[in-house]
Amino acid sequence: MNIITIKAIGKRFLYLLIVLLGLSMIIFVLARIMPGDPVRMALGARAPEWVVQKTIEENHLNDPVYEQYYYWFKGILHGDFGFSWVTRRAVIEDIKAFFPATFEIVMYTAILTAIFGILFGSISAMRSNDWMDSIFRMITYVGISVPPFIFAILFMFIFAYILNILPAMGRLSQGVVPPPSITHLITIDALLVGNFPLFFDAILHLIIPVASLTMKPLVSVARVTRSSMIENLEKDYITAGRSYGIPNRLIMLKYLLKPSIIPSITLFALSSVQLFAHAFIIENIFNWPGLSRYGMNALLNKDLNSIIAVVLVIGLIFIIANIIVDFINRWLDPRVIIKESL
Amino acid sequence: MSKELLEIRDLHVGFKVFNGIAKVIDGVNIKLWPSEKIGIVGETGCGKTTTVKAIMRILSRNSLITHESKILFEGKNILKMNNSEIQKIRSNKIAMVFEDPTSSINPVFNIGTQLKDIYKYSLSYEENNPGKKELKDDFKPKVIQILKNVYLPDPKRIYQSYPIQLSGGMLQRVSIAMALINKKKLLIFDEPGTSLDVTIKDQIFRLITKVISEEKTSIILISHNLGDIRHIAERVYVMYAGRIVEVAKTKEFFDNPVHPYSKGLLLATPKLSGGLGEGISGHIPDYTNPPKGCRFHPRCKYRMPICSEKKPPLFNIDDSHQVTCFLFQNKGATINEN
Amino acid sequence: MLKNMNIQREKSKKWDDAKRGWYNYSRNFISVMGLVGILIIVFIAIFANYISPSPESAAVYVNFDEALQPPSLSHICGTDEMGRDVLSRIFFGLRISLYMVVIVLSLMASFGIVMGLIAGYFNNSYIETIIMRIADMLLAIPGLLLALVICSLLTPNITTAMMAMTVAWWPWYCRIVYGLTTSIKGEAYIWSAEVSGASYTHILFKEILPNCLSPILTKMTLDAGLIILTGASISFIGLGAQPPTPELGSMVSSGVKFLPEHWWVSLSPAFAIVIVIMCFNFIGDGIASMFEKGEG
Repeated sequence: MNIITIKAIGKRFLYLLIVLLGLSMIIFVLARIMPGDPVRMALGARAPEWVVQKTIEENHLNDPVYEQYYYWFKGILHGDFGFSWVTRRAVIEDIKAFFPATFEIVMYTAILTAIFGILFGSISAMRSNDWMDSIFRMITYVGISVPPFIFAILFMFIFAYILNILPAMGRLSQGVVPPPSITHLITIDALLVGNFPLFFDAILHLIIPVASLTMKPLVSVARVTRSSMIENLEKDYITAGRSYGIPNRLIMLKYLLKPSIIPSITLFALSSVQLFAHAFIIENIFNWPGLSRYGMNALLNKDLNSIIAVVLVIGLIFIIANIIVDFINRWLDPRVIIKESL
Repeated sequence: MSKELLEIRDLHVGFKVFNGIAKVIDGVNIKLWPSEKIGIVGETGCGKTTTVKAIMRILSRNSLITHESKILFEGKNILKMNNSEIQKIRSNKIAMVFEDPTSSINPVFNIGTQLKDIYKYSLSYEENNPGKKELKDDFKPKVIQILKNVYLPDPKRIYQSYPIQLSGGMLQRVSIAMALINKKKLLIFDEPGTSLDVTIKDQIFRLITKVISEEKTSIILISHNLGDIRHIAERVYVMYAGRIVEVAKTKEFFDNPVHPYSKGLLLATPKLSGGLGEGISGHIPDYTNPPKGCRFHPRCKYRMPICSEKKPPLFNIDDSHQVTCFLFQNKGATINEN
Repeated sequence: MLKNMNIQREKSKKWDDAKRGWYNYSRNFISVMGLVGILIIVFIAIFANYISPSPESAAVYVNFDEALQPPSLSHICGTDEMGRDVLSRIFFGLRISLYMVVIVLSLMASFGIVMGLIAGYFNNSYIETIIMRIADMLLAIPGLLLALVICSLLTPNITTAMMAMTVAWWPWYCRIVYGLTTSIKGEAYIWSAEVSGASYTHILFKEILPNCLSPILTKMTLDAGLIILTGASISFIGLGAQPPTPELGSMVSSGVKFLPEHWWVSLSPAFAIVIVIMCFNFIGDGIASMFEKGEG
């Protein structure tokens, strides 16, 4: 880890942060242009006019746009994302409450995508022109063609309604008490406390949502891994390596794999962030108390503070994912560092 | 006559391409004796690299080798060996130095790791070391030593470097180091120094000459540079469009080339005494639809009707000088391809 | 004589390229199938009025006698809760989907390409900075999310959804073209065109653009499926097409509450969505392999 890396990545981080704030500005302005009266919608039709006016005053909603942005920005620096009209509490509290649920889904999806995506991709590349490869490619087409929400409906239909082996809604079955909140992730917490039945219940509830979300990115990563490996297989340095007597197994598992997974890792990071967007819809279907559903409600109710907060959180995750990918790329491919110092 | 080290017999190699099969190598016969140094000459695309890749069995996946082709190394047919036998050959008997070192060294691993792996796995196949030796730290000194042997300055730094950090000349030396980490019976050099500038190339050739003189290794030198061939090779094979057109001892070849193509090659060399030389008009044939008969006849000044009908066999000029050209039909008996 | 020979060679080279391109494309049985599929879908979309069993189902139509009928000979995909024939609605829905693809793809690509060309060519000027920073901002969050946010802030309907998708995805094209333009800009033939007084339009569109075509075309074909997917997702939540418009995504969503007994209301349009996306993806793959370097 040399100084060039740290400086370069630090610069990128700052830049992306500024970009994110720029986006928030755009959304802010856009929201102020929109028609509609969110305050009245939130307070109800029967709220007296003076209450509405007072609320508007307090929240600077009558001020020019740049002033509003200024107040909002000041709030951000103190960690105060404002007040949500829909849930009637501080947005930051909402986020703390809902984020872990979404994170649990995304975490499992990401893990499965990374492991099995690269695994299936490599196996398919090594056995290409085999019947296994043809099956793989068929599955690939299905995987990238079916939107996650359709997978969700399908799985729900088959497994929950017809076969009745998986639950349809929620994180836990009715009446089940959640474990103490250590990590706020139900499955991990259940394991940490040693409560295995609880763990299994949580996992069962996770299966359909995670499966629906995993299909698309897993298949994409597998495809990219496969084509990357096939392309590299014919490269000179692989042929040369074989000519020096390095065993085939080692060539595949070490010398071919490492350069080939570089595009896969980048795609993996990108897909994982897009998961949050698709999770919006999935959480809706499964009544999952997650960030995405919270954000969805905010969108449908034009709850500006919440919308921006959700956008910022996801944007921040995107930045972090980018940074991590940068680090990994540097570790995998030394050419990156050299190109940068030129 | 002692036994040949390597004999390529009636080699036919084709490649599946989008509009058919490119029949690139069409009946190549080469013999190589222990400690002998031969050169293979020909223009780009004539099949020299394909031939040697066939020896090492590292052709691409769309390649096809016919059943009758034989490549005999120390008496055994390489084309029929199984995986572990062929790996033994690659680790300990034959090695190849590739043409472009910047693309033939894995870019994401450092030099030391790659050399270590080559050495480590060669030990399990080496005849003098039955059984695997797992002495991990034994490898690094040996690798540093081989880097010194190829005249690389500061071998410890090179050991940790990645290919992107090294210059073309250094990479070429690393390439040679990879080939030489074990003593080999046969070394193949595919156009060494082509991608380097002349002064570096000169150094590389000095290195090659030193290596050759020390060991009793046989050499196949592929080049389209006749000067290099003359310098190193004892015998010369001239290839055109996937066929051997002429074979001769080096001196005899340069003094008295007989095949029209060879004559054209020698005339094309610019000389200090004056003139850029003449070229040979035309270009190499389309391998998916090669000319019938002699593959050179469309470009040949001396072509006769029979040239476009029958494939010319190998004719003897004298003991060590053969040519495949109907011009010499009356000058000597045909040779069987044995 | 020489000139004719060169022209001959040019023509035969282009013909060879086309042949090789078609060979590579048709080697994939799947791509051909995709092409056939899309042609069928286009046919259905254009002639939906004539071939659907119940064209009035696409509009406001109520026939409670026939509500929620399972698939039968008269209603191949059954009927929905208003008594409308699901199959007819799917046909009209296909029309909407294709309409979306055509409009969004052309707007997104053209805007993105032009922006990319300008930003790349006028390198190191404030124009480049503005364009690329805006592009970066739009790429800071996942496209679907951005599109959803935009749709929610404005009135939700199909037009908004299309606009939102265009805004969310043009930056990708901009980036690709920007990267290619900056590298091509340094080539000698650009410099010579500049020196001989060619206008900016000429340089950008006749010299630089042709070199960017292959990655752009590949991306466009792959994006077609993405547009349908996103459009369906947006409508599914309710931020896109509003009832009674027979958009496939909103049809799926309104049918979810009838699962599992009346599964056809939701699953038929879902199946249609999958088929359309698959066909586009098949074609996209074929085109991608067409641009791949062939053997030899």
